[in-house]
Amino acid sequence: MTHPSREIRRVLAIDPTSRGFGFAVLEGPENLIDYGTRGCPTTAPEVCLKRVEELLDIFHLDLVVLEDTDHEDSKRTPRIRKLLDDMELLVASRGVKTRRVPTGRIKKHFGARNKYQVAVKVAGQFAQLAPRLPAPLKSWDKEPERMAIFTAVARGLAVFQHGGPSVV
Amino acid sequence: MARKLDNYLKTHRKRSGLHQHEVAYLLGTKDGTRVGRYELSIREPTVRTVFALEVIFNVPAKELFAGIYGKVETQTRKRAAKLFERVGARHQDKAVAHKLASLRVICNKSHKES
Repeated sequence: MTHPSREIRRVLAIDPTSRGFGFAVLEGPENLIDYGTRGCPTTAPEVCLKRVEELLDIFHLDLVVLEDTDHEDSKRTPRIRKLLDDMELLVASRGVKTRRVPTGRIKKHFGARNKYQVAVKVAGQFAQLAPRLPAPLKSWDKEPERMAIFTAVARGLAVFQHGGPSVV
Repeated sequence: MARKLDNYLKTHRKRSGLHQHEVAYLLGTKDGTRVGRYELSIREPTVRTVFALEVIFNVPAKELFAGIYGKVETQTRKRAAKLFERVGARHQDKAVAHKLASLRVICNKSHKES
């Protein structure tokens, strides 16, 4: 039997932020097709969903990967949890499969202790992302929006490496 | 499994670190909006532009426009199969035999690849 992760081709991974979301589209673990951030007002989640819909229209996806907010390591606010649930419903309504990946699994996959270490490893794997890697954060620094791109890429990669039975 | 995207221009542009307006300059056009239209498949580039894009990204056109290439290839091979049947039904001479051999190569390729 073919491993489920080998049957997936084009994957969209999304990482919401307080002001929008970062996304990455991968065709297999080595081909980063597109990436970026999309801004949406915190008071209008429908704008966020519209942005996701635009990505679904462009990329004809096999799978959308979102954060598993039910996992104990998730520290997401109720607003983001609701947004992720709405995204899942939207994606399912378009006939595309979804997969939830906990943040802890990403760190484990990359052998990293924090988000920044994950970002460094992702930038090492995809040279085009290296110039966008932010400087290491101080505890008082605000996390740059573009950090969500690295988390999204990492989430997508984690699916290719640890495809579970719920993928197909 | 999802089919190939119509084009991978944005992928290769981002890989090369170029902005749309810079690619537009290399293509000899004034602004980046045209490049954006190519990327979103709203507009199809001319043959000259396709070759220029091949030079810019150093990627063959059939890979840059993988989805379009796939569609054109399938349609062409289907037409070749039809033409093969049509020509084969006619009186056979040397010229016709040569033509059939050429068409067979096109059709066989499609069988092998599928």
